Amino acid sequence: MSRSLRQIRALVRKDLWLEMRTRDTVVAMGLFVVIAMVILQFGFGTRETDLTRFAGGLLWVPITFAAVLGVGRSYVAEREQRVLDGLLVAPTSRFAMLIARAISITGYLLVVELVAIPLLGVFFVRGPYWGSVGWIALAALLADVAIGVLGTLVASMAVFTRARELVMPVIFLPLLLPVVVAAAGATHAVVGGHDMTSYTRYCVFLVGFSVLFALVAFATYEAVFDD
Amino acid sequence: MTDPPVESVRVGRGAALWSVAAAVCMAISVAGSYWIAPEDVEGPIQRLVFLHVPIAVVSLIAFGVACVAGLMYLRTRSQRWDDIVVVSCGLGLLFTVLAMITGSIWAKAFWGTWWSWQDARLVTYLIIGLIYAAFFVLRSSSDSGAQARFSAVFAVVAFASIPLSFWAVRTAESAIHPVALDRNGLQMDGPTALWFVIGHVAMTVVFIALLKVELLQRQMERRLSSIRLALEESAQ
Amino acid sequence: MNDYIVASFVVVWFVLLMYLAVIAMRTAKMSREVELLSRVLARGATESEIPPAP
Repeated sequence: MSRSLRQIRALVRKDLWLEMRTRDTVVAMGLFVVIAMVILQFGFGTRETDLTRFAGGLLWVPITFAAVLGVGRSYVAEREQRVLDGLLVAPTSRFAMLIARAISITGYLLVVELVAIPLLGVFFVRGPYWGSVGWIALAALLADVAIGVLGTLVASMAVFTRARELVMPVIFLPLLLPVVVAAAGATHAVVGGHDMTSYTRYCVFLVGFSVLFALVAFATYEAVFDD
Repeated sequence: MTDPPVESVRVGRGAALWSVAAAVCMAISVAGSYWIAPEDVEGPIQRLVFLHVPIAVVSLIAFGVACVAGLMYLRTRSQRWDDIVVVSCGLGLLFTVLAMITGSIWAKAFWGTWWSWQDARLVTYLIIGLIYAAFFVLRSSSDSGAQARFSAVFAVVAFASIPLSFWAVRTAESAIHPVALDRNGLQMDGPTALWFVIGHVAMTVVFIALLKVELLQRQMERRLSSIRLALEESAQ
Repeated sequence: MNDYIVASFVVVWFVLLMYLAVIAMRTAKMSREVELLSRVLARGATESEIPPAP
């Protein structure tokens, strides 16, 4: 057990270190989220300043699409610089690789949300907002873990297909829809009013989603890579 | 390309028999649900239940079959299981679309609108349909070496997300509407329940027949291409 | 009301028959290929007087 823990730590450090050196992914993802929020504002065609009703969508549509980009991006080194061959030869378990990548993606998304959640309050919400930021952040953390687990599993297949830039969102986003439903619902529950019962239900769902897909990944992940 | 022994001349009998059974069952079920089954308090539109619900249930059965076949493929790596994964996912998607169309007609007759985002089942089926449509995108753009493996893994992942979709949409619905619109909460008396069950049996048999026919066809295609290959080799 | 039920049945049957059409098309493709292969076989038999290798 401690051995696989060490493996996971080493792999996460590899990902984060690469990201710190280049800062390719996270900066672009953050910028993308801001742009997407502005596009949504203009797309609605309204000049209202208070869009609290749409808070969940305004937060989670940009983050979902940014997650697609980030997840796809995080496999570039694996594919182009043949990192994956090295990892597969090394005696690391495939499941440790999955967990490590899921942790890195969760990390990227948390950094992005550091921008997105305050921006939601500044741009779109005119009611009481800052008191519920903690609750939003908690739901976001749970959603990020779910996105990380699912995204790693899906991306490790999608990046080895032919039209990968297109295949990635097309297979990732439908599977992500339940997470979007829950994450947006949890956001609405605390931004619009203070509906803690449904907020708790959504959070339980997000945990359940992560656990179930971790199990599925555990059962199938070996098969993704054997050649 | 192993040559099967002589009894392989019986190949395809199952498909034919199941097809006959499907035709008979469907005839009985349609006739029964349209003319014989007693009318409910909700009026004639309630007869749609005998068509719509079995289709929806069978689509879930098809996805379950695909998931099991996917797991079996990952274990055995036999082409047969891969065939079952693909055919079953395709049929499941077909039935999902049919369930959405009939559900939409139901919604129109019942609430006066073709689509209701408050109907948890309709919305969930939309999500499931999108997921399984993605299955074919993934399959068609995978390299041939990875195609069967990825299909099997995706069939398992997609099946796992079916209960999650129901759960998520249900949670959202109960947050908006405390009282869920439940179309199956209707009480069924004896004869109605009987025709309801017969509808399910009939639709399941239709699914098995279509599955068998298409499996047979895939097997034939492969045999044929191996024959062609052998002929080309012998010609040189 | 009855129109809706009839419409549902029509849609379901139409889609299932379209599915049948797809299967028929694939069968037609295969039968064309069988036809072609049998012709190749026949020509090979008459030209060289020996049947192709088993």
